[in-house]
Amino acid sequence: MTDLSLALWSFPVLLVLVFLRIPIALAMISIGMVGSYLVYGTALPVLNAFKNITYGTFSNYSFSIIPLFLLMGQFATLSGMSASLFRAAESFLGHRRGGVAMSAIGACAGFGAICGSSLATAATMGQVALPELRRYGYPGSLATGALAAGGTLGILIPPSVILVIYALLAEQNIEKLFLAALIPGILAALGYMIAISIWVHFSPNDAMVKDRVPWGERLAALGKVWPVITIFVVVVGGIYIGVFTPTEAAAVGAAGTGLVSVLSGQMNWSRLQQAIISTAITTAMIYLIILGAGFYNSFLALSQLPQTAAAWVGGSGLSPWVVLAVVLLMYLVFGCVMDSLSMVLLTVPIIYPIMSVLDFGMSPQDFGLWFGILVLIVVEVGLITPPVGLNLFIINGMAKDTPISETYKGALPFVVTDLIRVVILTAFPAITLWLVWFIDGFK
Amino acid sequence: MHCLRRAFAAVLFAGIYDYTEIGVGIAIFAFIPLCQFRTGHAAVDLFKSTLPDFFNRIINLIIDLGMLALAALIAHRLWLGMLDKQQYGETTLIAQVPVWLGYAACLVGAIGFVLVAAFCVMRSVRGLTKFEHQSGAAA
Repeated sequence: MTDLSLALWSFPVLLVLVFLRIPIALAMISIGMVGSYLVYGTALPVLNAFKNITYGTFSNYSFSIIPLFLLMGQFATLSGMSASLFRAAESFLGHRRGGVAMSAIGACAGFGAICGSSLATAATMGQVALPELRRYGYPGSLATGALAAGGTLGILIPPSVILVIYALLAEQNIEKLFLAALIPGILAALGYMIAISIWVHFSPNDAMVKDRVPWGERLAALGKVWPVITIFVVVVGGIYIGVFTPTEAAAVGAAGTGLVSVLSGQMNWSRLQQAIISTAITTAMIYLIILGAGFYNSFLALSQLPQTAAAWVGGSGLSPWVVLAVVLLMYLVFGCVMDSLSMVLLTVPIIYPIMSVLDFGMSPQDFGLWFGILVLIVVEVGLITPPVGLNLFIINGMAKDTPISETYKGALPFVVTDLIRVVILTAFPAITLWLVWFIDGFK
Repeated sequence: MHCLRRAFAAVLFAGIYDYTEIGVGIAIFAFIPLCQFRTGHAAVDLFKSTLPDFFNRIINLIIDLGMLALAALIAHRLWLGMLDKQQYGETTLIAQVPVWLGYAACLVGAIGFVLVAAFCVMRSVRGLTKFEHQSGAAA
C-alpha cells in the first residue's frame, strides 16, 4: 500500500472509530501513530516526537486563550446579564407582534458579545426567556426553536471559542477574524427576527404582544446592560487597537466577567467551583483533541496527502466555487451528527490547505478570514439541525411540555435563514470583509 | 495607543510569558484526569441508543482500556522527555527556568491520568458484570 492510499484509507477508519463512540482524541492519536509507523516502517520517530509533543502542546502560549474564553463564558452565565439584556430588548421590541421572541434573539446576540459558547448562551437565555415566551402564548415549537437558534449567536458574535480554534489551526489573525464575524453575526440576528415575524404573520394567534414601553423606561433598561458593553469594548477593542494581545484580552475579559458576576450577587463558592470544574473539563477535552489532531496531521503530512489533494484539486479544472460549495455542504451534513468543536478540530487542518490554493480572486489574508466565517456559520447550523443538534436538546430539556419533534419543527425556519445567509455571504465576500478593510484603512 | 500598550505592559514582568507557559502546562495536565473521571471526552454518541446495552458496555471498556494505554504512553514519554531536558540543561528563553522542572511538575497530572484511567477500567469492568447479574436476576 502506498503512503497516499494509506492516508486516504485512514479517513473511513477514523470515521468508523468515531461513530463507534471512541473519543475523537483517542481515535486521532491511534490512527496518527499507526499511520506514521506504517509510513516510516518503525515506531521510533513517533515515540521520540511523543517525548516533547504533549508538553509542547499543553504549555503553548497561544492555546492558553482557550481556557480563558471558556471561563469567561462560564462567568457570563452567572453574571445576571441575561435577564438585564432580555428586559432591555423587550422594552424596545415587546410591543411588536412576535416581539417577545425577537427580544430573546436580541438578548442572545448581546449575550454572545461576552460569551463565546453556543451551548452556554442557549442554556442561560433559555432560563430567562422561555417562561416569558410561554406566558405570552408562544407555542412550544416557536419558543424552543427561536431560543436554540438564538444560542448559536453565542459563537457567531465575537468573542467565539470556535473562531479562536480556527485561527490557531489555520494560522489566521484572531483580531481580524473577530471583526469579520461581527457583521455576519448581526445579519444572523436580523435573519432570525425576520423568520419570527414571518411565522407570526402566518399564525398571528401564536404570539401576544406587550404594552408599548415609554422611552424613559427603555433607556433605563438599556443602561442596566452597561457591563456587557464595557466588557465587549475592552476585550474586542483592546485587542484591535493593540493594548492587549488576544490572550491577555481573554484574561481581562474573564476577570471582568467574573467581577460582574460577583457584584451581581449570583456568584457563590459552589458556583465558582462549578464554573472552574466545567471549564477544566472542556479545556482538557479540547487540548486532547488538539494533541490528537497534531498526531493525525503529521501522519497526513508525511503521506503528502494535503499537497497531493491540493495539487489535484488545483489541476482538475474544477471551479473553486464548486469545490467551496461541496466543502460547505459536507460541513452541513457532518454537522447533523457531530458537535461543532470536534468537527472544526478534525477538518480545518485538512481542508484549509486544500482550499487556500484555490483562486477566489482575493488575497490569502482575505480568503482566510472569509473562509473562517463561512466554516463558523455552517458548523453552527449543525447545532440546530436534527438528529444531533445540541442546542435543540438543551432548550427542549427545559420545556418539559414540548416534544422534541415540535422543537425540530420550530427550528426549521431558522435553519432556512441560516442557509440563505450562507449563500449570500459566499456570493458577496465583501459583506464579511468590509469591516476589516474599513478599520485597516485607519491604521 | 502605544502608550496604553506600554502602560499595560508595565504591570507585566519580564519572563511572565515563560511562567505562563509552564503554569498552563501544569494546569492542563491536571485537568486531564478530571476529564477522564467525568468521561468528558468529545465523542459521537449518535448510535448509542440504538445499540444493545451490553455492546455499549463493551465499548465503554474498550474506550477506557484505550485511554489507559494512552495515559501510560503519555506519562512514560513525558518522563523520558524530562530526562532529556535535564541532560541537555535546557532553560526557558527569558526567565531561564530549567525546562525539565516544567516537565516534572506536569508528571503529577500525567501520573494522575494513569491512575484515574486505571480506575475507569475497573469501573467499566464492574459495569459489565453488574449487568450480567441484573439480566440473570431478570431471567
